[in-house]
Amino acid sequence: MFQYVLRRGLWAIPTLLGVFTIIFLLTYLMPGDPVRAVMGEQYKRADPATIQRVRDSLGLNDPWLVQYGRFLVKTVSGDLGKSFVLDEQVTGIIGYRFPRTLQLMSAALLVAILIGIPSGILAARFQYTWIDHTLMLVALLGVAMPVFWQAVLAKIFLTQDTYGIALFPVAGYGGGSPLYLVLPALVLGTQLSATIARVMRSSLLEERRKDYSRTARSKGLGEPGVIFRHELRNAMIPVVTIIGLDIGYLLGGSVVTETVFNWPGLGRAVVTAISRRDAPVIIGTLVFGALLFVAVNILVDIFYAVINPQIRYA
Amino acid sequence: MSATTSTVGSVPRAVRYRRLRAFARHRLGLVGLVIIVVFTLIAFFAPQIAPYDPTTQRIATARLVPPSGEFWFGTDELGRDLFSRIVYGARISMRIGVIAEGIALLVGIALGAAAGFFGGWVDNLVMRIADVFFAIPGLLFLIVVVAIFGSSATTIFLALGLISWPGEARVMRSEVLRVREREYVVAAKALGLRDFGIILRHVMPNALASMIVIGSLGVAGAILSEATLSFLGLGIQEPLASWGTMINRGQQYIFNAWWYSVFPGAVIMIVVLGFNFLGDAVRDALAVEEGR
Amino acid sequence: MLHRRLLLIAAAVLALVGSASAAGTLNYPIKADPEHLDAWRSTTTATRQILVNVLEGLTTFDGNSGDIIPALAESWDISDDGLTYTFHLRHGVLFHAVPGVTYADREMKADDVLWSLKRFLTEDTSISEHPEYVSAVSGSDAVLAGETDEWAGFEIVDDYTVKLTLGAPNHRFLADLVNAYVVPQEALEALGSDLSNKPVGTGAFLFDRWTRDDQLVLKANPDYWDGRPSLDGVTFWNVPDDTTGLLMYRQGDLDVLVSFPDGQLQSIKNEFAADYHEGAGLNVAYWGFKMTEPPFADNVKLRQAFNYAIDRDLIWNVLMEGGRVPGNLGVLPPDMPAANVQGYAYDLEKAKELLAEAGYPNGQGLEPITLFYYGSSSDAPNIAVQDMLAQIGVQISLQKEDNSTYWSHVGEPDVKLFLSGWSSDFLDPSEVFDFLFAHGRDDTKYDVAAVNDLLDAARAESDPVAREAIYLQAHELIMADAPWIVSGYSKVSYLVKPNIENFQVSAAGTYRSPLWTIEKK
Repeated sequence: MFQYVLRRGLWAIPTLLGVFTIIFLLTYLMPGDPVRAVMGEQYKRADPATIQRVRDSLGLNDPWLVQYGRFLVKTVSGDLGKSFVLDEQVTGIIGYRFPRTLQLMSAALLVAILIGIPSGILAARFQYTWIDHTLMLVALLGVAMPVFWQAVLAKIFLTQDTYGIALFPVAGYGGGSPLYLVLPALVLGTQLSATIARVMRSSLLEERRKDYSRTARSKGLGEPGVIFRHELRNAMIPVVTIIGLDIGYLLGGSVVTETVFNWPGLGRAVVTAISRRDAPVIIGTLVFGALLFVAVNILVDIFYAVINPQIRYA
Repeated sequence: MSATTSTVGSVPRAVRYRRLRAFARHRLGLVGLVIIVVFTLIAFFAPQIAPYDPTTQRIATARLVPPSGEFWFGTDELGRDLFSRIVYGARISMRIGVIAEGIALLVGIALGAAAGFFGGWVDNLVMRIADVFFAIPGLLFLIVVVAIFGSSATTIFLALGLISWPGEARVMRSEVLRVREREYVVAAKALGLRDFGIILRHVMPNALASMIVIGSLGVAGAILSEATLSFLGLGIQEPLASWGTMINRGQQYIFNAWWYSVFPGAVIMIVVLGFNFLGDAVRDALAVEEGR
Repeated sequence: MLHRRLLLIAAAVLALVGSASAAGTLNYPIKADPEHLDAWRSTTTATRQILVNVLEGLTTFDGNSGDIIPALAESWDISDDGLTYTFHLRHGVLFHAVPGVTYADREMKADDVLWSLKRFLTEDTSISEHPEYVSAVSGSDAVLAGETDEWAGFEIVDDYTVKLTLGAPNHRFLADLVNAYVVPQEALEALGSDLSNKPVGTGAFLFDRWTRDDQLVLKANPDYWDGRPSLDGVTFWNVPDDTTGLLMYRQGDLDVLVSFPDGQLQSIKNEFAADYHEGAGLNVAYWGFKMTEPPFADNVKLRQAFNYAIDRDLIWNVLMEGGRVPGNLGVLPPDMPAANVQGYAYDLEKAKELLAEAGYPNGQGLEPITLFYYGSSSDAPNIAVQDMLAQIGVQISLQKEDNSTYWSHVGEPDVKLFLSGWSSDFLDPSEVFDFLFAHGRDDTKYDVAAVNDLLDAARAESDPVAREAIYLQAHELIMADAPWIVSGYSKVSYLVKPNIENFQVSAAGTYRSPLWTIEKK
């Protein structure tokens, strides 16, 4: 088992190197003068010597190979540099913004699982009945509706007395009050719950046709018993895969959700950074996102290996 | 099995017929197909369908006019006819969706097929590259690329295609692997067909259905991604607009002009649903073969 | 059932949260989180908007008139040659009592002023970004170059008197001192680099806490020299999106709203008739021509034709529902001296005539022109301009770029027609002319000898009436040259809840509007 984990971990290294290279290329090609970003409105009032001084201090006059090498060495050693605009280290920025994003993502995932899995099970159990049709239609609508559009509508109808009921605060973090978390989490989780419901349904249906569950059913075990004691265990594997893959979706979706709801997480930080051309923060966030994705995938693979030992030798 | 499949076209006719029937029985699938065809026609014949020029402004006379006989979907803040703009928007949104997914399919099929067929280091290399693109957070990548190269339709579909091919490649690879193990390819090899021909003749028809599934879901995803970009203010340049841009600008006016964002929002949903219906139906029809 | 109970619980918690927000706290929206809160590096309005409530300099601006008024200096004398400024410091001003900082002497005195102001004089941008605030004082160059620690022009007369000697007369000096904040040295020693994020000074509010991208909280300073503010504190809410701001204001999460979503001022005025206030601002928006590149270089008739083709009233009064005052005058904000010149009123026929005289009848022979505009500006006026120029046969394509790309691109020769804007700090024409029309400093590269000479002459003139006359002359020359299409003059418009008293926004903007006189009933 340890060997498998190690091997899986080593596989990630070339992947990450590739990711780092692409990220460097992107930011290197970024137009716009970072000095302007750093100096803001005073740029016009400043003299050329000051501008040159700022440029030197940012290391922007070095050749690209030097910049690339420096980037790789620093990234690998965990130094993501300092923001051009904010008075902070990028690791610091990620350090306190990511927990908030994680908070949002976990809450959304919880919403998605709590809605998605029971819906999927119900739809499979009552296949081709009105329950199944209704649930799947809602799920399809959920998949087709852009997240930002859901967010905008939710914000209007659930936070305003004038247009709906003011159940939730409009936007913000509220200094950590859980009430502020509910609406963004619902919005971010809804679409994922639709995906989970669909996968859960089809995967459970597949299990239900297999011999072992027919046998179990013929032994007179009740429906709930068959589902929960036998089928669900196997049917969960594709669901876990989807959840693993959707960490990337959640990260992307949180960009939109955080923007709409003023959630002070990493997603909003990166949108702001892009509009300010704050390259270190953009790079840092992309690097961090990739690390996160790779790590989650390793975890998912290990999870497989635990429930199905054959995989380890495949 | 071996007797029937040595003929060209690897799917037995009976199975193909059963699949077609299963697809036709799938009412939602037909609905999806109709939606796609209708919107494709709208995109092609936009100048004939739109009652007005989509860029004609009526600031002084018809600013933010609600839906009426004259302006079916109302007008925007510059007095432009929203129905005409949505009709023309089909050209942009549908084109970005279809071309982006087309690129993803082309790259994915080529690389996936190569990986699956040749195996070994080719397989390894392709799959590692795919891993790299998988690991980059998709939406962030898109935002950064559009920020760098500007928000033209070309940038958007190239970036979308670039980021989505690995999924297609993985599916294609597994299709190839599945078929490669089968007898009839072994048989064909014995007949002396060249490698390329083998892939083309035996794998493609089988993989086609899978590609339709992943392709139609992919188009839907690409349309949504483009809309998301537009929502974040990175959509394509005015005076033309994609549906996403219209929603983005319209949502500011949601209190005094609900029609401005509701109609493009509804259109996006319908089209995305259409592609999803189609994808689901084909997938279900495919499942017929396996006796599910 | 469970669902309904959840909703009930949520509603109860919401009620609790609602009542928990302290009655005497002002909830105030900010569009951007400050980059930092460093006294010596404050540059952006985001930073200054906070600091104006926490820190003070010797002088300050009057929020309404924009005049220089006393702050930490109670009064000052200026010698007849304009070279010596003697500042009489206010007695009994105490530095903020904040955790972690202990004072040998909490009172603000002359040595604190010296230390704080001298810290501006360094080339090291990680310490100070604004040596120019105090570099008019003689002997500054030597300190700046690191040759000496002695600042020759700065003399401590006694604990409450400082004498600053300038190298040359400088009519901006008192204005520059506004942002030269006085900070206790003990705070830097105790907090180190943390001081960049936890400002300590003498202002009416103390820094309390800052959740980045979320809330920044200030508390009333009980020891403020002009008495404790009536408010218990101010909570700045980070609200980048104007629509969200409106939703929050409507629900009572915000007590004021200082910027609105595009083009719906009318419905906002209708909904909040009693809360709405507006006044004149100091920003001018314009579309600039690149004066050094074809087709606009050396073709004044072409520039004038464009000017006559734009219906500014339609753009600002109808399309944007009164978001700005239409730019039918000159390049200065209308309240400035020398602002009253003849502008370009919409005249389609005249525009067509001039276009023909410029050598492009009905636009024939004119290459399509790209109009550049920046991401945070409204699309609609630019799209309208595209259409208006099409009416005289000129083809425009639009190019929107995000803010930082835009501002580094706009000065390049390939940008021939572009949206820009300029905010003056106070009501003096030099605030516009010196930065935008002197020696090609603006992105238009407008550089005309006659105008340069007039502006130099005005700068040296100390008689205000004579200065205004010179500025008026320069202004008329500039208007005849038409290097801009003036778009509109800003308004300062805001919503404020009826229970908030004494709230006002300075013409220069919110970063010039300290909040300590506000009362919340």
